[in-house]
Amino acid sequence: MASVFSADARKILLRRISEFWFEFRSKRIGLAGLALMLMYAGVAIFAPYLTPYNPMSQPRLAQAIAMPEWITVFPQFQEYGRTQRNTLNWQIVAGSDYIKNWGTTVDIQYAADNPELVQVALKSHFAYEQLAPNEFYTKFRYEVTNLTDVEYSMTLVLTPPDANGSWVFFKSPTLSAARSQDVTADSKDPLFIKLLGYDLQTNVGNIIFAQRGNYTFTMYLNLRALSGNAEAHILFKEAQIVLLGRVHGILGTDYLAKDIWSHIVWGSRISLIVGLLAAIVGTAIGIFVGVVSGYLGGMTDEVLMRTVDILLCLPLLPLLLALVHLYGRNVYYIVLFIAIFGWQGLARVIRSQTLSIRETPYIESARASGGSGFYIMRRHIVPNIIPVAFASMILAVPGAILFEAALSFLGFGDPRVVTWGMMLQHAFGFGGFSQLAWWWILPPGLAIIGLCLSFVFVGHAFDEIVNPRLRRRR
Amino acid sequence: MKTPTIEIKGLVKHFPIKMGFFKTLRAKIVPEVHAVDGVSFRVDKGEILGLVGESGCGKTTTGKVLVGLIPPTQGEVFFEGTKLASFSEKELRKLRRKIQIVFQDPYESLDPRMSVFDIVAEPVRIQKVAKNETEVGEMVRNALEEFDLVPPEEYMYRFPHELSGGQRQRVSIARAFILNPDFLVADEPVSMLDASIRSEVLKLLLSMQKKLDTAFLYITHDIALARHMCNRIAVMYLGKIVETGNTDAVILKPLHPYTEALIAAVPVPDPTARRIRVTIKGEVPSAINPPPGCRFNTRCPHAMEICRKKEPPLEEVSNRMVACFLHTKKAKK
Repeated sequence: MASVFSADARKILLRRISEFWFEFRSKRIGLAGLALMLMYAGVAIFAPYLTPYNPMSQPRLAQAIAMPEWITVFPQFQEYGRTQRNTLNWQIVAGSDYIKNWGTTVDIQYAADNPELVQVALKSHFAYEQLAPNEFYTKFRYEVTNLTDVEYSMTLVLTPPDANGSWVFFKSPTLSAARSQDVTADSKDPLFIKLLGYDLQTNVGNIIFAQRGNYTFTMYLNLRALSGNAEAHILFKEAQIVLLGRVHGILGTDYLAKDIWSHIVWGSRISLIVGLLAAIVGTAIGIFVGVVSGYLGGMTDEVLMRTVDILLCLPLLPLLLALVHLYGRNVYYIVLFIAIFGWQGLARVIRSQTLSIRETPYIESARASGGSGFYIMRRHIVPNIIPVAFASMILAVPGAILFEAALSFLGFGDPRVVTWGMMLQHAFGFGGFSQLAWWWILPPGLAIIGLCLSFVFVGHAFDEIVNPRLRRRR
Repeated sequence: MKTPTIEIKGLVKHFPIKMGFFKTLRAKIVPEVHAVDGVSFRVDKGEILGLVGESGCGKTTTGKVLVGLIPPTQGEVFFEGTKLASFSEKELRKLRRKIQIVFQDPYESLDPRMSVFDIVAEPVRIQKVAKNETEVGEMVRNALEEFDLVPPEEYMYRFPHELSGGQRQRVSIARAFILNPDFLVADEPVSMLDASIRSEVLKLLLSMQKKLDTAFLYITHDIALARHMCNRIAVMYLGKIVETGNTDAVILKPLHPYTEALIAAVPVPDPTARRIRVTIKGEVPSAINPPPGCRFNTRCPHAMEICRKKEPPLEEVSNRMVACFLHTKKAKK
């Protein structure tokens, strides 16, 4: 519309906004809500700067359900360590004839003129000075190429600082073919625990890394030449040991060792998007149905209001679960479903408002000036119900957020995004509650409460401005 | 005889009473409010016709039918000789620029969400009279100046709640006049205003009417005000015109007992003045079930046998039309 851009219209709009702000400014609770809301919006907008981790793809940052880092200020958690990553740097112990290169990558070129058995041994140290970790893993990669008539096998052994006994971390069978492999020895892997010779329930981390000091990895490589022109090229690289921390980050980790703070931060985006979109779409439908129904009346009114009645009677939660199940767990479908089932009350209110506005003389004079029904709805009825609709829209946001959280909590959330409801579901289903992992349960709960409260505060302040009758209640 | 700007013939407006579904089934006839029951009059260019009557007598309904806000049950409205009913919806909408209405309540008749500028500009925008927004602004400024809202910039950006009652009514009159209408209905435009600002608003209204030579229907319950304003007066009672004629004739020598009563009810500022007391008893009968015969017979001090049986026709008696057997009989004799 051209009038929007004219100077006169701009002045009118500015006056309207400044007047509204003037009134809003005096509502303390509204200001508090607005500040809270802006904080959430800021978190949502600057999410990539607030956390280095992507919520959907993270390396293993610490042990599962690790406590927040700042917990170490309390004496009973003082010794809890962070994650320690050691890249292994190899030194030669035996077989230096064949080792062309060593360090983080070891290059072994073996050639023999007659059948023989050769052992190559490498050694690497790392220091560990913290409380024994609950979880750890070791990784390396070997590549055997150019192989002719050689049988080989390897063994990785860890020796503790006091050199009393040792643990075999990896033992390959005797092989005679070229091959490359990534090897992982994970303290959570039952096969690994079996290899170490413990019960499956044993916390091997606590046993192996109970001592503090220099641990030593030794790699034994047995090479057997089968003929006179035997040769092999063996690369041994990317070896590391990761001792996963008992504490991590601002809010610890969840059962998959993912950073909870990053989930909270990125979850604010989804919650805000879901809440606002659902409220906006729902309010738009509500305004449309209410205004059309109220202004046209008659058969249209009857049909629309009976539709509203029917929708109001439907059992919402089971229906939503069924719809989500049918159409897939997509967050935008969920928004749409929440919106579709969230406008009936508003439509009723808007309709009754429209009925009373319809009879006012200014509508009659607009009609007397030749305004069409559409014109009157657009220029007179909608602007007059917009404040009420806007207040109700703001108040509808927490409802949508809670509904999405409820759906996620019931396991019907979008698996491709992180939401606070889903965090709670995971905490509920994967040990957060049984272990009382408060750093996992409380943040999403508090975040939902805070966000909903901010909208409720702002909505009520709004409501007080647009419904002056409410002011007397205090 | 020149074509009147607006003329209505035998206008009838009945409002059916809304009842529940089952009541409607049982009822033989749907009861109706007989708001207007056979009203005819004409307003010429430059003329002011006062439509006078108590509240509930159908004045406002007549006005609304005239500007096309409600369709008549029966009867016809002619605008400059053409039947309104013969116009298509589109033509009718165009015609609306020539017919405007000013409502009684200045607090209700302005959209509280619109600025004064938008309110006054609304008819211009709807009718697409102006070429662009600058021209709309020009027209609005002129209209506001015309009605003493100077400087226009001071009022244009305000909202109705920031104006006094008189200013509001001037805004709604400015809005009515912005398209230079040929016919204006003013439905008690000053009855809600303080006495002190009434005359000012009326003066503006009159001077504008003179300037544009508008045909003007002035609806009021105040017969003294009607005398001051109008060229002709039509007195309405319960949906019918009982007496109509030139202002002076009707006021100075009322014939219908109801007109007499109305005039007698006007307060006289002199407490010692002697006045004729015409007493009418009781209240206005229900418009759902109007009394048979003359509608005034239940309250008329001169009611006769014939008044309860036959409806008096509107006949010409000494320079005016009157519907009363007291006079039509005399005239026959």
